[in-house]
Amino acid sequence: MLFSNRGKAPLWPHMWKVVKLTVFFLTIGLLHAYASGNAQQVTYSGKDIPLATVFSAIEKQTGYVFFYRTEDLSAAKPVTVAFRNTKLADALDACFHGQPLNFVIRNKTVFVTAAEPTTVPSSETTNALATDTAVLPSGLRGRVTDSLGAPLQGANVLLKGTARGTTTDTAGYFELSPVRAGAVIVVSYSGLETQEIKVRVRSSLAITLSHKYSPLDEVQVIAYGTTTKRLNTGDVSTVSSKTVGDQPVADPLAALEGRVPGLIVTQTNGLPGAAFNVQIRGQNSLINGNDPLYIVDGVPFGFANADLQLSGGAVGNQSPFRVINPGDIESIEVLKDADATAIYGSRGANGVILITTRKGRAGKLKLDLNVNTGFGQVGKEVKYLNLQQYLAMRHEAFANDGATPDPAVDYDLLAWDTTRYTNWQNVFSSNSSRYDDDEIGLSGGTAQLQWLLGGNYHRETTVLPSSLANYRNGVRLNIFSTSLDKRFTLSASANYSNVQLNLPVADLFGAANLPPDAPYPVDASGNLVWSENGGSYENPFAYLRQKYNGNTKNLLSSLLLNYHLLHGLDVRLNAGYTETHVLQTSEFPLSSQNPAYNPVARANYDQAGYTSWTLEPQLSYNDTIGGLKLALLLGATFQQDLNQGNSVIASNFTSDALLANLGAAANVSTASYYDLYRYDAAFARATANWENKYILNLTSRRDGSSRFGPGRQFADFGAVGAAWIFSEDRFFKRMPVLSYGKLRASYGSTGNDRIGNYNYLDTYSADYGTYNGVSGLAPTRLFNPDYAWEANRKAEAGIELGFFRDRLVLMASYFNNRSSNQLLQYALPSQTGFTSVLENFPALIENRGWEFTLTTANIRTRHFTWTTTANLTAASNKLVAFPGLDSSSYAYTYVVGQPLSLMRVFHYKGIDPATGLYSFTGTDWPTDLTDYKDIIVNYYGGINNHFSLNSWQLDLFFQFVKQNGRNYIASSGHNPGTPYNQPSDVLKRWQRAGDNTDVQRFSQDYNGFQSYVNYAYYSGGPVTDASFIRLKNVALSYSFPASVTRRLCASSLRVYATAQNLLTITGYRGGDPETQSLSTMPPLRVITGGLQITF
Amino acid sequence: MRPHHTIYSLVLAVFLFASCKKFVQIPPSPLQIAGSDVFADDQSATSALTDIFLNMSASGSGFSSINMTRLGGMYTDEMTYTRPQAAFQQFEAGHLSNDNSSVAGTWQEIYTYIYQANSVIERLAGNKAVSPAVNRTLTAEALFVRAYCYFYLANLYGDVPLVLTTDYIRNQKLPRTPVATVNAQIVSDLKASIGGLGPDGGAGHRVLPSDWAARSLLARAYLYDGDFPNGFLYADSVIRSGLFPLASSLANVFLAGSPEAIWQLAPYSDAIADTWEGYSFAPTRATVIPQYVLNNYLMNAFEPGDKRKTTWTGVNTVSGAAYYYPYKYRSRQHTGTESHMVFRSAELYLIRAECAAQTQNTAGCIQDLNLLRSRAGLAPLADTTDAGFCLQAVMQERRVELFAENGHRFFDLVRTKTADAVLGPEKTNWTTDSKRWPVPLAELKTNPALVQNQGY
Repeated sequence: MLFSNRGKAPLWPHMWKVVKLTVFFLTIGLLHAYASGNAQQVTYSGKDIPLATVFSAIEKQTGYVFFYRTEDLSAAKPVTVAFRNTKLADALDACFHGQPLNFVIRNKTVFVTAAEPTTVPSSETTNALATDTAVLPSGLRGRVTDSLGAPLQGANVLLKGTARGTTTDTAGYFELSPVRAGAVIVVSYSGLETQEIKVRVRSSLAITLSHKYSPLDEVQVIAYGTTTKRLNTGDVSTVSSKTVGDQPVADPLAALEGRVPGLIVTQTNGLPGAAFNVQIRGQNSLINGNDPLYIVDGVPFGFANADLQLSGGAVGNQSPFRVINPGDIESIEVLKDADATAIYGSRGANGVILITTRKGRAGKLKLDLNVNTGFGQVGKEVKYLNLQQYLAMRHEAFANDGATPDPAVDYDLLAWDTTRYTNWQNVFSSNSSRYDDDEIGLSGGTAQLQWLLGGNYHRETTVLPSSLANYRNGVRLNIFSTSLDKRFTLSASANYSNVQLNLPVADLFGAANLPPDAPYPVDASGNLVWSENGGSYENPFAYLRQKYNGNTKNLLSSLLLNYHLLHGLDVRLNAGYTETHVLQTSEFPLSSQNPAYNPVARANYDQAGYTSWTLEPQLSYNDTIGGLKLALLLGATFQQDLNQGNSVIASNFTSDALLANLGAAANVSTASYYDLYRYDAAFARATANWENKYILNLTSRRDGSSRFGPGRQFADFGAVGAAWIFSEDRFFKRMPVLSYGKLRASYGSTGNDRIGNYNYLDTYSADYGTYNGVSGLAPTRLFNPDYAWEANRKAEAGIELGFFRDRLVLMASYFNNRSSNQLLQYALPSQTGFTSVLENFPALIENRGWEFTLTTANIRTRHFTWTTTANLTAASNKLVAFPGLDSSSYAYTYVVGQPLSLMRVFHYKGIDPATGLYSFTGTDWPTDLTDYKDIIVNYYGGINNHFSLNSWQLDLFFQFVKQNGRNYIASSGHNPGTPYNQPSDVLKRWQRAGDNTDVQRFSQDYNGFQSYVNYAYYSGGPVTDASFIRLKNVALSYSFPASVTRRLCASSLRVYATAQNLLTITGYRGGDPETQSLSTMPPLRVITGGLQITF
Repeated sequence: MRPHHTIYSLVLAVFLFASCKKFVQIPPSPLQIAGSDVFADDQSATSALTDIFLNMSASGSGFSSINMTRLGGMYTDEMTYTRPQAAFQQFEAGHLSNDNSSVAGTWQEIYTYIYQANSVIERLAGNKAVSPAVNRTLTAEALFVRAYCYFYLANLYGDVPLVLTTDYIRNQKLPRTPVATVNAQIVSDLKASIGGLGPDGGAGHRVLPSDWAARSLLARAYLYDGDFPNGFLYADSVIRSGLFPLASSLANVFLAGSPEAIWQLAPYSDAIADTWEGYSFAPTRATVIPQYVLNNYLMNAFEPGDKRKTTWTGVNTVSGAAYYYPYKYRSRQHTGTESHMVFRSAELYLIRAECAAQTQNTAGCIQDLNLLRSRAGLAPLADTTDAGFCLQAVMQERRVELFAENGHRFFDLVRTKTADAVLGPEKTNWTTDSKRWPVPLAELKTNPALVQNQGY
């Protein structure tokens, strides 16, 4: 509407020109292109002119090219025409009127063919010969399919030059009436080539739209629907099944590292099952949830959204995504701006990640087998001091301190065999882990019913000196069915998986700093060694005998019912149910514990049940009125998540053999937890698309969440997104190199309700024990019904440009997200009875940045293609305002005007030349925290190069991160000189006055320790560059030719090799720059080989 | 659009949106109870009040269970902590920093109980869901707890914010209220509670405050406030009830069910020991240095032959040195034999004696003192008309009768204005401002209306 009346508004034409010119010059700068002529209009006149002459005149004026066989044209009659600024299409209509010829326009090319036979290049249009222009008596019927024969629902069929049109139904059929013979219909579908077909006499059309080869037209999943990159008004990044499938990872999140602009994914540990930190466009909330919302096949993945803390043994925190087989994924979409996320209302503040799984297709029965095996190893080891260097360090420390070793503590020098050398890091991680992944899929179907049945098996061991293995087994079924009258469709999927994690209770990697002369952990008879010559130590192998077992059973199911009521109007129900059961045990047998501490056999159990359901009734209406395509969606959401469970700590078991038997424990204590969350909403979305040129998208949602008090439960969210595909404008069509250009902008609000349940209530909970036989009920928090949503306002502008028929596509977007109304623990004087209350603060946080994506088809020949995809994000975060910060409990944590990742630190003054110790201007905590240091990611991204040579395919993906981190001194945990081994970097320590270094003198006494602690934990000294470039993924595959597959009765056969984390380039000192820790297992280098065969 | 489709759709939509509001009003967690539901029946309302006593008893650093005893003991001339602990060393040195964790913890703990008491008082006012009898008792107990809490707050910190509601928005800005106003509130709360608290639960069952406990606290409050006639009156009424005779044997005074107990904090169900004092003071073995050691100042204060010295203190000899420790409570296990004493009639005799001396009733004073002396195996004091002598004798008797018991020594020295003279020479950092604890720094930061005590 905004654009259609532009001629009437006096100001508008002028502004319009300015906008056009701005875009024009932007484009010019990049292209050195020129404009000439008027793209789509023809001025030409003459009497009895041969068609060929008219065509060449039109070619000159429009840049359109005519394809025809000379013999076809010879049968044509000369024409008499008088075109004056006539539209090309009308001109062509006039030329072809009454001729024994057909024409089709595709991509500025006019294909001219003889009317008999009626074949149009790469289409199956069948037309009868036209002889007159009479109205077709029973209208025009037709069916639209894609090149694979699948019906296309919602394809647009437009009578050219008029406002009349229709869309195809679920089975691809359409009806249009009245239609005159000789009229041209335009059939379009996003992602596919648009076709123009001239209608002859009464006819039934079978139209096949072929796939375009523009990356812009690949289908993109968005909230409650799909679109394409070309037509999307919002900011959505898609990661394809190929990208996910090419990576030897067991967790889908791992496949996203470096792939998506604006998305930071960080692995927390290299052991199987470890969680990932995921952040879309920075930290929006000071203390509450910053995780995105995860949706799998249209259903919230409650298990991941619930912020469940699964202990995970050695990995600390377990990833809930391990239940999803990466091989089952069709695509992952990352929704970022307000336009894309506002329809998720209160849940969309931190962005949304949509995971779509594979579906069956109509066609013959297909059996797909994929077998993959390989190994993993620690990619980047830390170089520790060897035995001689270690002992020298210790002796130097004592000499520096003027002290002598104490028999009571310095066992490494006095009790143990100082000639024995064990490289502990090698002991813990020199093994290779085994990696096996097998998948089977059976699929097929008819036009009425399509289905897919799949199974997957994954096994992964660790690099630890242990045979512990981790598993996932999964099955899934997917069905799509259509009723005979095509009005009703049903789509259902169920995915069940069982994940078994078997890990030590602690990450042994942290024990790599044992003194190199420490006793070997096991003796000749296999018993754990706890001391030697009276010198005891914490035996790291104890952890190998203290097992963590986590068993997760997960069911994900979804159902989509759709009924086509009448023209354009559908009623729909989207339902989902997920159920997750987690059973975790950590066992501490007596035999694994140091007998010196009077240990008891003990075990921890954790049992959690998580269920979540959603119901989303919807009404959708699609219509085309002339050049205006309208899509309306109205719906409601009901969602309930329930999480309940028990944690049990049991001790004093009668025997190590009975640790699984709670009855054998003398002491048992239990804690229960229960969380209920309900959410409902009404939402509406309207999309107006004017000739694929101007697109306006409005969304709004009214949301209710049980996490807020009465009167605060409901809030409104909404967004507006607009796109102008200026390359559709005649003005820009004159530029031959520019094939696509889009400007888009969006603004809107979302909220954050990830603040925990029941927090507004002044609840009472039971205290332990009873007094005088009466149990106690203690108030747990103050009544605060007034707290409300954290509000997030997102603004974004983007430009997208395609050149050389989209062989080069550049997308750039700028975003500015401001979140306010922060829910914080507001510190109270304890005279109120409590020390804090959860309140909304007017604190304002800003995240802004630039994101770029570049896709280029560098070489595209018949045998060889080379494409490059690159993305880059440069973002920053700032606490814009925080009224009352100084008097709040965050006074020493945050600084207004600075990023949230800022650290308040002591001012580090270097090493005191006299003492050789770290020195500071002051070390009173917190008053001397006067310095700031920022641990932040400055920019990041990735570059993928894809090569394809005949049947060979190679992908090379580099991930890069420019960031600050804390060096090994901060993560070692021990002052160099104390009885813990250190990275060999400490050899550059201060030795004499004048030494310029950042490692203080070796010391084992209190002064050295205190100075180290102040340096490592409270000063900015260890903050260093932790940037890295990582060859994240290499995937090489070969597809056997048909001659081979035919002999195997297979339709395709592919062998492949993949590698993850192959190479890391970094200047970071210490462990891995991603985990930035000496004590956790770094991300592994995994190399696998596999075979995929389809029958 | 066919009409029936439209109607169906509209009906569906109306139905769905109407149910939205109800849908997000979730039932409370079965593991928690909303405040409004707690006071909907006798049982949970009783649990809400009882939680105060449960926490007083369960807390290993609770002001009522042990902290007044040990902090008061270390801050005066009674005891020393023998392990390194910076916060405790400040008490022994006689000067507390404004961020001392025990000072902050005490303030916070007491105000937590006051919040709970206020919430009981507020929620029960006009509450018909709770039966009238239970309502009356719980309200009285809450009033008593509030008075008890303010008594300690006022005597430790001086002026304190007088918080009488649960409205945190108002309460967070309250400044300090003059001690006199706080004292008036204490008296009025106690008077209001008398008659509503249960009668004496009988020997062996005095684990909840009765009317007599309220009278005892009133007597103490009047004494501290210098209102001696009223102090005498209330102490006398408790003694003359005849319900609380002195235990004949010193060894039985601190047992659960001691005849002279007016209110005892019983061990809670999951307690690791009968009392935190027994658990902390009684050494694990005879060969170790006790954690808390009685000072020579106190040990020398016992007259020769005082059986309280031999019965209520113990001694460990380590490397030839004798270490005395408080031994009023002996049990280190949870056996149910002992209970922490909050009020006992011996204190009431001492209050009555002091009030008598202050009102020139020297004979009455000597008579009460001699009752305690004779139980301790000491010769009776001769009758005298010298009130000054009597007051001194009362202070001496309080020192050895109530030592290591709820901080009496500290409060006595401060209220009789002898703290500077006695503690000044004994403590390295004592100043005349040490008589009041500092207002904790965290409170000053979060409530700008609070003003720090002089000297901090």
